[in-house]
Amino acid sequence: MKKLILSVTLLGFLSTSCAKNKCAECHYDGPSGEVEMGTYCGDELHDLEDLGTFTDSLGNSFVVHCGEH
Amino acid sequence: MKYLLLWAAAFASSPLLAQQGITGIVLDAQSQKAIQGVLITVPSFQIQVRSDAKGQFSFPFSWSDQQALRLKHPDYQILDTSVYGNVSSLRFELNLGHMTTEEVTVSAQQVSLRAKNTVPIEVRSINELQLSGGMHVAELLTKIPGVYMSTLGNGIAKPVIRGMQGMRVVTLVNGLRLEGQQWGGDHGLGIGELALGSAEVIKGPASVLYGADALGGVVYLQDEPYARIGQQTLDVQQKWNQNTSGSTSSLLYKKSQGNKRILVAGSYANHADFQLPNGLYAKNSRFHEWVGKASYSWFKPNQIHQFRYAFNNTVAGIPGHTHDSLATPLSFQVQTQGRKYSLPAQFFTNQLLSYEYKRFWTGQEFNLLLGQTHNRLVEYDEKVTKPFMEMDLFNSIYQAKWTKKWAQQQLIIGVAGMLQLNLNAPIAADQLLPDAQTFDQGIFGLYKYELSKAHMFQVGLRQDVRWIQTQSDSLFLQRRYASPNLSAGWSWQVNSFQRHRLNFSSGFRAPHLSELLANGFHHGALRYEIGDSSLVPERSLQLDWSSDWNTEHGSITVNPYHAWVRDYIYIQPNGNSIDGIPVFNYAQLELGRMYGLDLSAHYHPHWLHNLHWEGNFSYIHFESPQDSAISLLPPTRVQNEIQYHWDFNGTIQKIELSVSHAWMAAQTRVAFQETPSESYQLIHINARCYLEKNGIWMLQTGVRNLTNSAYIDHLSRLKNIGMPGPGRHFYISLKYQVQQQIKN
Repeated sequence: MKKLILSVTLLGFLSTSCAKNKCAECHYDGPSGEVEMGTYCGDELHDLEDLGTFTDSLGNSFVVHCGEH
Repeated sequence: MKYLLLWAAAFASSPLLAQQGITGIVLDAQSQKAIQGVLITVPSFQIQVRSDAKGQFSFPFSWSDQQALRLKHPDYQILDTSVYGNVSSLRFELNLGHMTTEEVTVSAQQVSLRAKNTVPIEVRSINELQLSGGMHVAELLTKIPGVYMSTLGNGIAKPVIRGMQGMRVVTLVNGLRLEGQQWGGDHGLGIGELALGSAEVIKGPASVLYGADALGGVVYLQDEPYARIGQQTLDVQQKWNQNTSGSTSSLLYKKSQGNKRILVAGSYANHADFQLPNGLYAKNSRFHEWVGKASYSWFKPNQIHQFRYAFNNTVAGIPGHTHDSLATPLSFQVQTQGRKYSLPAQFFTNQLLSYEYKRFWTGQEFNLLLGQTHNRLVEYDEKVTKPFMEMDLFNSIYQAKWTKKWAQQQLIIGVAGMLQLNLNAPIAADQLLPDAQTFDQGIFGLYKYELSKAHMFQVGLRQDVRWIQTQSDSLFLQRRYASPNLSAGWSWQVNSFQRHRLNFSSGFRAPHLSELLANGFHHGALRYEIGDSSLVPERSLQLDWSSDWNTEHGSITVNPYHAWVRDYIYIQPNGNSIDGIPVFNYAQLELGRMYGLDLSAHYHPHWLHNLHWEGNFSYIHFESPQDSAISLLPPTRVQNEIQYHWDFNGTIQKIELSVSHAWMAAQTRVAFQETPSESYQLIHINARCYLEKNGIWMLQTGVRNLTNSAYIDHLSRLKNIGMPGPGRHFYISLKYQVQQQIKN
């Protein structure tokens, strides 16, 4: 009984936490449409989303979107 | 709380009465022959036994007090009676027939027959409701007149009682109050239909019974009964839904041996985007859900203990999101069905832990319920790694009540309280609500008097206090709200066919933190919300009249009601927008009147006993001097269902066929800037077959929305983006149950 309750609880927490550590494909909305940036994972993904924008060589900034919308 | 625990411990350790069994026999009233297979239930102890080939049964213990007993057999009229436990043998006689409308209810703070209660309560068996093929608990409950559902796709749904929903409806699971950020229209119920046995609904204010927030009504869900004494059962079920290419797998194990019972259940559901009548798919309406449940109970003479744990984790996509600058309904509909996790999404986790203790003496009963619940709500909007909102809601709940019974009178006195903590995770991008704590304390009394066999009245009084305090320096708020509440009811049993019931009840709801302090984006609701810290509690008074006519072949219930609502809190757009999202303000309506009518009827002809027709009608009207209506007011509805069943003696035991039709009127009485909705009709066909071969098999199949009607429900949160409900679809479900007798 104890094992069962513990297992169910653990399963629940795992199922909520796993989804947060994903890799995601990112893109930014360029002047002529979406520009793919490739797949980002873990800290890289986190940093990119924190920054929120992509700046090109001309100094133009574009909003970055990651994950399926 | 400490004294209550000491009390409970003292009762538990008191000398027990000698354990002594009770035996009995059930006979046919006309032929005096023994009846096999009669299910004899003691609802207070949640114990079931079945009569053997000689019509004999036995309880392995006795009780000192008078207890309600229910005897049920498919070929006989249900017998509801009450007996004292200090007898050694019982004898019951059943009359042939199958028409019954009375059920045992638990939601009015007492285990009693529906007829022995002045509070109007609707009771339904979940198994019966499941014949409709509904996707979730909220949809199953819509078969009850006056009960509707509010949805955000398939994964997020909650019940609406006479136009009230969310925080105005208290939901209890086995007596434990469910708290899951109900303030948000996009926050679901967080409870699956797994192992649920029955649902009771109290329509209208019920603050005397359940305190603050029970302004619009109460939904009381109860787990299915434990296995019969000396038996273990295993149920395996698989459902498949064509519309969502989805499936639900579930497992339920029950065992009752000696004085111990256990129930363990689990299920997993995974559904992709639902298909619309035009063949496209509702983008990001996908969801998956884990549900777990475990109960352990043991009883001794005159006492029962129960531990329960329930877990629910839902990951639901939030439809209605687009990056199109000029969004049209087609912006939210896609060619391909998606199942993969996609933004925006909601993670909703509920955990419920409770302990219940009941103790019986001659003419007295003590009941203690202790509970701890945890709700975690996480919403991801634009970013994969950073939640937009993440909140944990902890609730510590207790209720203690003492019941004293005399020959014709009953008195219940109780106290109830809740400590609630709302905590935001630092990682979240926004805090729609600040960290805060809420403390509720209530004391109540209910007095029932049976003047004669025909007349009964009940009066209830309750005083509640709610303290709210934020734990944020930048957004400090401290409030105390208190309110007395009253209910009074009268029941008149004119004769065996006719009963009238009049009930007057009040309700109270203190403003929620979201209404007082909100100041931020609420993406699930697609709006920027601004609260008002000067809001005062809502109050409601309802007068409810119910007349029942029951005959051998049918029944009719007419239930008009009228409610006065003061300081009703609503939200409406102020015409501004922030970052392209419309801004909504909370405000109060000084006075409103709500009145309506619930009708229900059931008929089965004498010449065709297996044919049943059930129909119901629901009408709600709201008006106020300030505005024409409130938002999300349910439209008028007519539901009809024809059922036929065939009984067999071979491998196939029974086949049930159901054809149902629902007509929903147009709703043009809308609040400021609310979208009206058009009338629509739905037809569903469902069939169920019971087979017996190495166990019991149940095969259910059906087609929902047979005519592929393109409808937009007035209470759907997707109405604003022009998203219709699911198109025509098939489903199939197979359940297998194996039973085994075990030594006691």
